[in-house]
Amino acid sequence: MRGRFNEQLTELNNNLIEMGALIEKAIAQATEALERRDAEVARSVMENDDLIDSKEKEIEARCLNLLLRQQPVAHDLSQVSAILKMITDMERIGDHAADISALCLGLSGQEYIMKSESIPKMATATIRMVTGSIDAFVNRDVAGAKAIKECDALVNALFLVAKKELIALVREEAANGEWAFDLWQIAKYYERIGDHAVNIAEWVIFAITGQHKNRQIF
Amino acid sequence: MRARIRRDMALLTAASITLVAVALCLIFYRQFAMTLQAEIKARAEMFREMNAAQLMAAWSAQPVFVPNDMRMTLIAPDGTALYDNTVIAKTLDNHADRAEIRRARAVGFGASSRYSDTLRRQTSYFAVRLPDGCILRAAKTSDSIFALFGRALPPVAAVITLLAIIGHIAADRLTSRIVEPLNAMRLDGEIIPPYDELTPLARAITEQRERIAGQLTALAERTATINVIMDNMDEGALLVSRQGTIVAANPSIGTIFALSQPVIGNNILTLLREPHLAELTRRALAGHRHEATLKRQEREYRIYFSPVLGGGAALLFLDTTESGRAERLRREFSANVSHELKTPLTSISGYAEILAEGLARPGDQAKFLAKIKDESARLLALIDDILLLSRLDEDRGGGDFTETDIAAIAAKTAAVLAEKAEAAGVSLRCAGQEPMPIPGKPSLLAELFFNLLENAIKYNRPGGEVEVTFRRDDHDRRVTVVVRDTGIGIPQAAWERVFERFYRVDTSRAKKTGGTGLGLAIAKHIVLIHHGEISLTSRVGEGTSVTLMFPGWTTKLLTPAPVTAPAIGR
Repeated sequence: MRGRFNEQLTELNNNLIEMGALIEKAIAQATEALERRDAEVARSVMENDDLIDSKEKEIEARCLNLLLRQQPVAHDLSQVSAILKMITDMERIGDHAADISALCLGLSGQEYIMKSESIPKMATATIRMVTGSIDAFVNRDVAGAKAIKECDALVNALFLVAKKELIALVREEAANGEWAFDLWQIAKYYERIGDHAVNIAEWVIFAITGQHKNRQIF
Repeated sequence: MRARIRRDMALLTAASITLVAVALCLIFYRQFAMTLQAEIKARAEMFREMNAAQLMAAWSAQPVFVPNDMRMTLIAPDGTALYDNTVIAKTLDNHADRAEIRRARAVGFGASSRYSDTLRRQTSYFAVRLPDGCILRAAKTSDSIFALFGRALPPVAAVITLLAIIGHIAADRLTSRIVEPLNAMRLDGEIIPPYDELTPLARAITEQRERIAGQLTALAERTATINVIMDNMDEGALLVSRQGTIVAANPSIGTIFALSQPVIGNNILTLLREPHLAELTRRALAGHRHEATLKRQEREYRIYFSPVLGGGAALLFLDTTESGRAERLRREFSANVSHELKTPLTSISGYAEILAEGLARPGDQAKFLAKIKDESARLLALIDDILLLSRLDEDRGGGDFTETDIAAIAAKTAAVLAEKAEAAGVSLRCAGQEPMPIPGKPSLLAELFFNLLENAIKYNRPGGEVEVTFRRDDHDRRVTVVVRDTGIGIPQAAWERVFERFYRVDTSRAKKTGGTGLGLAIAKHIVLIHHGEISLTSRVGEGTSVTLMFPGWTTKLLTPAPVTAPAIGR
């Protein structure tokens, strides 16, 4: 019984890593679409979002199955519940990557990206955060997960800088307003992705230590 | 084993004693029954000649004659009991259907035997027909065979218990005698069998021990060899089980993935989670070969996914960062070469076409022809340089080094270039008459000085100077050569890049000076082949110093040094 449970838990872990890899790819490609103004890549990100959604459903079903049939307790329970929480954030990251790609399609052909310095920086930082949170899960690395939170402060600061940059651009030339709003939304999506990465990192810490946001739960 | 021997022994004892007891009982009982039968038969036959009436009269008159050790019954031909010496005859049932009576009536005598109401006792009967048709029956009751068994049981049980105890002790002794020498047998040294029956076993063990030792040694050697290979190869090697678990990983894997903890036992996804790589791993596990590229920590790897016989997959990681860079540089170089070759050819064919079409004014013809001559010279120089470079790439100049005096070579080269220097208004000086021997190839070193001095003259100003100085380290005999000029100088950002092929500080100037852009690349290549170093310092508008350093003459450095592509900045 125990052996079967461990086997299922390992499988669940592998599934989560796979889903993590999918969202990493999604956000990296969305950023590529944004920077290179590549409509092809943007479309493929939007198509792949279904894959992420179905992966979430699959993992969710596995988690519930484990909870109901094996009734895990203590550390095992914290593992399964952490995974159940993480996939929600992962799925949201996938959605935001698709949202960014959708906005990119509307922007393609514009000389927009050169005008904002902070958005590409935000993209790089959030990609690092997402990868870092999944790495922390893979390597059971509490220190790595904690570092993600530090990174979020940078993304939040860049978000404010981006806002100022875009306001200045609109002030300079009113016609810029059209794409500046889109870019503003994109910046917001990156900021959200950063927040979701922090959530994932917090659940990683919970899965390892049983502490969530410095509160001992298990 | 001891318990089993004990149990078997006890069972054997109990079984044999029981069997013997049963057999004895049967034999004794049979004997006893036969004797009894004979006795009652003899008694019955004694009265055979008498009538019933006579017998009854005699027994009534003389009760003493009635046998008192057995039952005698007189029965009328119709089966009614007439007389019985133990019970009152009238109370008896009709005996006509009794087996012995029926038989006696038919053939004159009859015998039978019946159990009483319990099985414990048995009665034997013998009946004879008297002359008057009445039947005289004698009967005697004795213990039945079951009673006999019942009586024999306690002593038999006692014997069994006794023998079981004795058997137990004996079995214990026996097993001890068999087992203890076996236990005491030492299997590490030479095996001495405690009794002869064990000699074949001892021999078999010895043989097998030798065989196992041999196989273990072979296995250990093979393992050690594989470990040495795995541990020392730069390529990362991973072995993945059918379930995707990492079974083996060499130290290079740790370097490639910057691992802080062992990965054996983890799923391969913990290392390669990128969707397309995870897919290739799955395909390799399903038996297909694949290759892919992986970027980790600023380096580039080629991954070879191969299925392993009997399930699982092997992943080999080859670092292709250098070869990838070399390949890119090679492509750049080819593109540059074509471009550089095309430029003079375009001019040549352009001017030639104008001349051929007769479009040139007579006054310009000489100028055009001079241009064609200059451009062809540039083309030739370029081709020469490219050929030299490819020769350096191919065989590093060919052949081994000999003791070469570079001061003499520099002086000779300076003499060749003296005329050119004079034409440019530059004074060329080669200091030092002392020989400076290094291991080298004179033709390549002459080429080196030609390139350096030609540059120093070409990029100089009228009235400027070029000076070559030598210094030999007394301690390690290293030779340092400095070629200093008072030319236009090179901005600091370009100090490194001037050694790259086709790099030019000022592209507009290149046309004027007619350089190929390969001079310093060739110079650096030659220096590196000679185990030397080359560096450059310069101030714009003041001049440039190129410093060369060579190891002093020694027979240890007679082969040209290998030069990698990135080292010469291709």
